[in-house]
Amino acid sequence: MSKLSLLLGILFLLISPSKAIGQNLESDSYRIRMGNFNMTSGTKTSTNYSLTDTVGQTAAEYFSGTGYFVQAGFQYLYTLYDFSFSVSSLLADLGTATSGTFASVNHTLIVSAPGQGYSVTALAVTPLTNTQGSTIPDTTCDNTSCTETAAEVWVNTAVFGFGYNIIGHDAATDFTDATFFRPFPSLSAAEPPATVMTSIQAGQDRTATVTYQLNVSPTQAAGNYSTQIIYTATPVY
Amino acid sequence: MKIFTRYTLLFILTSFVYRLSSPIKVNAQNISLSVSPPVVEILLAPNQQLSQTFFLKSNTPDSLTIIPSLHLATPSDSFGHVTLDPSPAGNIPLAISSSLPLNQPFTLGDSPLSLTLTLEGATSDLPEDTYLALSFQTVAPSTADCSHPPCPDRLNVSSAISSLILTTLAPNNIIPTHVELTSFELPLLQDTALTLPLSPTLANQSPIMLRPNLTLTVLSPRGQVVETLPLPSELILGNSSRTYTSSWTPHWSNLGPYRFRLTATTAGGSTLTESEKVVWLIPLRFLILVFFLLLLIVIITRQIRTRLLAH
Repeated sequence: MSKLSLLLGILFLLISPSKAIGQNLESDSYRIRMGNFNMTSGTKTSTNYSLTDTVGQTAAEYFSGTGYFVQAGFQYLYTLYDFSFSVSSLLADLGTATSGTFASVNHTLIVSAPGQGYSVTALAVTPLTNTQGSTIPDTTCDNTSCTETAAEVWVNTAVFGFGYNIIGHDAATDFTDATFFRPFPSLSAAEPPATVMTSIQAGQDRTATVTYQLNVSPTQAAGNYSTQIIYTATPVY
Repeated sequence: MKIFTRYTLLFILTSFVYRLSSPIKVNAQNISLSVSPPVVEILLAPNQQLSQTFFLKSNTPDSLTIIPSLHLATPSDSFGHVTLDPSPAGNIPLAISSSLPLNQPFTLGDSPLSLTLTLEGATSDLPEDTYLALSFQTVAPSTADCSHPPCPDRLNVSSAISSLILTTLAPNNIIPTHVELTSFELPLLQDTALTLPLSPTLANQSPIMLRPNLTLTVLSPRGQVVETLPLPSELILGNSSRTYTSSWTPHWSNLGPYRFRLTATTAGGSTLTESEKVVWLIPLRFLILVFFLLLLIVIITRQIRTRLLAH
């Protein structure tokens, strides 16, 4: 009887439909733009250029005739919504920090990206700095191995510093859960921005929550610490 | 009465502990920006001008202070993402003027704001690409705003939204092309019941962007064209790669060694690069299903026979 059950189980698995991998040319969020229909291009004031419209098509034919090539055909999507980026708050107060206790605060980032996707990067202008110039160092996480591009667990209150976590749609995959943190790259240290959200597909209201976490050492100089965090949303070309 | 007091005290204590342990609430302005168009491709002759207007819209009722700026963009992967240089762009082969002063704050109110950039190509003997991002960044609130000390440790958040401006400066309408197919992996065996995912990668070895047409041709063992599948057209920036994603679903009758030919062509039809792979299309699931059905029939027949003999 057990053999029979096993066989029936295998048969069921084989008969059940398999998942298809593919791309839709049309969905609730976008439609493929056909031909030369142009909705979003701005003013054009010269005939000596070609954008990705009818002018570009002519240029493409001309170039291919020379043995070289450029295609400038209008390949963009006729989008049903704009490329937009929202941040739920421009201020995030971490309260009065106490050594050995995590102070945390969060807000959300929301992106709507027609076309082929987007990315959001994060950059701190400086480390958290007070008026006397003292700075709070970046977190190194529990095992001292997290970096600006690789999140690690940070739950140990004996580890001091400042870092962030991001969870939600299209969030960087190294943030496995809410205990994973990274330090911010710093513009003052000439560090490149870190990607925090990324997608290669169109999407509307893609939402992620950023949580900032601070734990100051007992020897940290007193004062009000602040910095500026810049989030930049960029479309896929 | 004592019980009531005890429970009241417990409730107050629990509420107090909950309030202390809950995250600090953020009370501040939220912002939402939209920009159009998000991406612009430009082919420009030297010493000629082009104007392109960008529209910025705030989706919240509050007025915002915005700083527009241009930044260099660099491809960061093979899926069309870019990295922006945090510093404003300088020393580029384009003269750019703006209808609004760049790198200076302005107020964005209820109505959409238009910013027109006029680009003029420098004199050049060779074609040259410039990849820029027009970024609109909100101005962070002042960190000094704290009227009731002790002041909290504070993060000021700025958001920026950008449009990509991808420009080729073409001195004599001649654009070099050098494309290589760096990845075209297909399985040796493919079940005819399953969809075959395709993710070839094309590398643009020239410094000039191009948008090749990529076509997959499926040839039967007899050399007949079974299907011609154009892949979605993708732009490849100079000295970067682009991975195309598509799929092909075989018909149940497609059996044997099929050839998959991938061809990248120009708009005029000239072949840039071509690669061919052989995939054996076999009805694996069907064969396994038949095998197990036969096995099932044998087992059931044996069981019936055993029971009949036992009776």
